[in-house]
Amino acid sequence: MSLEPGLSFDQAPPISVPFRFFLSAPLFALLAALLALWYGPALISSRWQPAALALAHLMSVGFLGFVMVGAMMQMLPVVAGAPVARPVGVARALYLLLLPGVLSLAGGFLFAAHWPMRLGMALLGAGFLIFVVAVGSSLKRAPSRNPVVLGMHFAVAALVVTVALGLTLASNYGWEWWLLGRVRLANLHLAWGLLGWVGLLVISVAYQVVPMFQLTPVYPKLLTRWLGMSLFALLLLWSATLLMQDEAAQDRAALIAGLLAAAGFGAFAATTLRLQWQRRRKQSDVTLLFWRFGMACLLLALVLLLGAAGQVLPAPARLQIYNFALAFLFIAGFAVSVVSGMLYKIVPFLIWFHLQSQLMGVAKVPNMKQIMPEKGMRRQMWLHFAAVPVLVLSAFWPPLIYPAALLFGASMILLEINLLSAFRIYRQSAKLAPQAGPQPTR
Amino acid sequence: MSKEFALDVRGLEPPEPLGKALEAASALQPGERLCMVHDREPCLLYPLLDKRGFRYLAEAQAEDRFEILIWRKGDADASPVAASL
Repeated sequence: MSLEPGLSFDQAPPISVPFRFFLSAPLFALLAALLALWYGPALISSRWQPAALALAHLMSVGFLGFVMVGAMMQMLPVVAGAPVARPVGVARALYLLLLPGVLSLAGGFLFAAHWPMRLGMALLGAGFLIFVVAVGSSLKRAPSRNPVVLGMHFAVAALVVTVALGLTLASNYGWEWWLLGRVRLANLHLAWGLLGWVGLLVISVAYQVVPMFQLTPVYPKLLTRWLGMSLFALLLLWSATLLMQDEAAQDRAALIAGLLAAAGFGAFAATTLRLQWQRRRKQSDVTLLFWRFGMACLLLALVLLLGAAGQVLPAPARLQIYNFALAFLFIAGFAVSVVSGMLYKIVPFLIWFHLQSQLMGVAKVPNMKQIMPEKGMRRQMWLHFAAVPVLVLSAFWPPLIYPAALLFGASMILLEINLLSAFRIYRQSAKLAPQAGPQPTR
Repeated sequence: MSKEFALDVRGLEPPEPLGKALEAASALQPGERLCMVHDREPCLLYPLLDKRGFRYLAEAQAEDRFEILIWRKGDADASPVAASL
């Protein structure tokens, strides 16, 4: 037992650091919805469709990437005790590189144009390099080695692999050449990006935020100690199968690694649902429901994956349907749901915190419910819950992409409105701050 | 002689623990300090306390139990450090 002074340096970066990413993220998802409306059922014909690739990257790099970059820069000081150095400059540089980078990449796919693709590669490559160096050096300094910090190490390493594979694949579109083994590399890129970067980050952040914000018991030690590491090792194994000469053996090994990874994610989803069931406070809230829905979608995605492995449907139909149904379930059903649920806790909390810091008791700080009213959140949540099943069904019957995109787009507009309304409350309340007036949001 | 008030914020949803700690700290009189019990280290409370002119000392008693002593800067009677000298 030791009595130590608490960390005395300023723990939180300025509110502009995470918020510029949070407030921009839903706009990428809205753009993805508009793209789906424009291209209609043709979008579902193949995963290699330019519009499908553009849409996938608007969602994964644009929506998910932006929220995760902002959230990580915000969370590092709190969970790891190691803030990112020069957070304002780093956030500004990241934003200025990643925002046009995502749009160029999507444009490059969409119009099969070389220059936007090359520009997108340069911007995203530089942006993610800065992010990995900034966050990586902060993680390296971290005095704490708790499962959250360890999981973030794995997630950032997975991001490095994802970006490297992504740049290699994108060079196919930026220059006139044909990469051998493109399909396998693309599958690997998907696995590292979605299961590695997104999956491992969600899992490690969940260890901290689910018990804290949803008032559940903590995750079992067995899970927090081994899950992230095992999933990362499985991704490495999966990648190593590429080196095998015998194609049938390679497919078999990749399938086994994939099934084991699926079992790991299944254990995470089932544990999260069990902890939510055991929570102390019984009334539901939006974040809890978003996470419950996200975990159900994750489990359903795993069932689909097992179905694909078991070859339940005839091969050509199986491939196309499973690709899209899986992508919709994992990205929109699981990842967007848990990210939205977290935004609804983190955003009002940060606004409350920064107002407490600035108002110094001279004016009353609005509470969480005033900053982010329940009604607006619930309306958006139900739209999202309606959008996801229709999206998944559109993989089986493509004309459904129209109502799905409309519902999804509408839910993203409402998400943006909810976030902006909360930020407006911050701006208004910050004006009441004593002395220097409102702090610049930079 | 210092007087210590206990404040148990375990199991409360953020930002309630921080709000309750700030409220209780601002009511401290000379010679009084607060003993806050929390299930995690409240890292974001520290800059708020610093800004309001409070000192604090955190003790990790277990993985899920932290005790944070809070007193007004310059209040030698309330300071646990002075008391132990």
